[in-house]
Amino acid sequence: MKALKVIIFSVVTIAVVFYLVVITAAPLRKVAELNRLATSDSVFMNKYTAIATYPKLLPLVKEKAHLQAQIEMAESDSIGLVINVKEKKASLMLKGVEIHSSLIKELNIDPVFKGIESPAYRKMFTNPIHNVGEYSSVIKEPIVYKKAPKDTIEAMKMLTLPVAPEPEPAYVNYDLQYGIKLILVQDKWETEADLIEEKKYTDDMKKLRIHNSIGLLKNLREPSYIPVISAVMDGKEVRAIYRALPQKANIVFIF
Amino acid sequence: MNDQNLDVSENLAENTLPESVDIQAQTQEKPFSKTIFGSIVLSTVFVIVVLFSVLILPNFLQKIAIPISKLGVDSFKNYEEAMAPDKAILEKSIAKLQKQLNDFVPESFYMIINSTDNEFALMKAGQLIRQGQCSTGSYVVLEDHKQRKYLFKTPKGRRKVLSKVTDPVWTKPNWAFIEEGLPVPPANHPSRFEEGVLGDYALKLGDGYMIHGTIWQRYLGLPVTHGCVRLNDADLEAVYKSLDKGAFVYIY
Repeated sequence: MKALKVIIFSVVTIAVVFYLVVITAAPLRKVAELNRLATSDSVFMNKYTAIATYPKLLPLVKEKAHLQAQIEMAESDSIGLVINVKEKKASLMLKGVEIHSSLIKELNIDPVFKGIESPAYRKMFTNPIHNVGEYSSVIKEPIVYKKAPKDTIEAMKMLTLPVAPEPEPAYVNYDLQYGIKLILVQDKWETEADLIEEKKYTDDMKKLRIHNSIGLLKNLREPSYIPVISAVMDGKEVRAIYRALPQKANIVFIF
Repeated sequence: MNDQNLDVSENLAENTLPESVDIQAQTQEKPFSKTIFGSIVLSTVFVIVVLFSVLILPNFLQKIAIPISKLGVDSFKNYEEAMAPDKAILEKSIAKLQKQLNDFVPESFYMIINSTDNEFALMKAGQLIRQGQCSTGSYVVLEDHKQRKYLFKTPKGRRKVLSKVTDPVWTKPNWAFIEEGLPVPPANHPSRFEEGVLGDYALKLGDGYMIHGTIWQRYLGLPVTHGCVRLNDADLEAVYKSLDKGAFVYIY
């Protein structure tokens, strides 16, 4: 009986230690994966190896990448989003002009972004990043269908006074290139619809945490750790940003 | 005296020795870990430690793993001399890129329209000059009896002021008649032309979209238009006087 207990205790302890090692290494594996994106691209590396491989030049490399990405965004006809991590600011840009600016009340940045090296940084952030999938509680275009009246009498009956639309809950979850996730979420949950959406948001965050911990054990060979950038803002700001952006949004991060 | 002492020590031995033997016997028979209560406590502690390690600790370890892995990367080598030329090249190209980006912002007046919140801003060289409410497209899709659909939406993107008009006359499009349950008249029919409904000024943005005034000023701030941008009289006058032909209007 005592031997059995010792065996169970040892097996569980070893399993937990193994699990902790695997999980702790997950962000490091993601960093290595992102760094490999650049180093495995020989054309890219030949173009850039001459300049700035020193870690101390990383702030300048970042600044240059951000500017290049913003210029590329400015040359497109689409509205783009710039998330400025340093200033805690989200801006909508159109043709190089800041058309909307929102304060980010709470910003959480995954530690993975601190581990990316210069070549990978240039590879990833010199161009705007696109979303490859999204979930949003905000309707992109709140279309209302109306049948034309048959005559003026029916038209008179159809007349209604305009009212301000009820604000929707604001939770936007973008899946971006490179397996990055961007979450924009409102700061206050007040209405009944808000509370339903808040539950969806907290459930999604739980799922993400489980994915980034226990979930990784399912797939040890191919690390699928998801780095997340989440921004808590005023609901009005989240709605304005989401509605302004096209289906395939251009996003630039300024770290 | 000695006899008395011996008696006392004997008495003490008699009184204390059997008790200590009893306690020893008890503790040997039932250590805490072997009692039912002890087993439950120890198992619970073990489960809590395992759960903590599985659910809470990983998040903390993941947060510190990268900063720890980066410790000492810079501290062993002095890069200053080696990186000086690269630094100069980088700084020069950053200055050039910053100028290129700044050049996108118009030096003259331009207008920004927020179609979600129905607000506008009149800007000049990045500085806010005037802001207020406006009305933009209602997102109504009107379907007529021939299944033709008209979407009343203010298009997003950058447009230019193509022309400016004072005392504009509205040329009513087909949907204006369909919406009122009226038969659609032929082009240039007198019923198509309506004076006074667009305010004192209109700035044409192309494809039939305009910035103009309204007789429905109490609905400013609401999405009620057929795609045009409506302003109140004072804002319209300021915008009309500020924006030249060719000025940019950014709609989002």
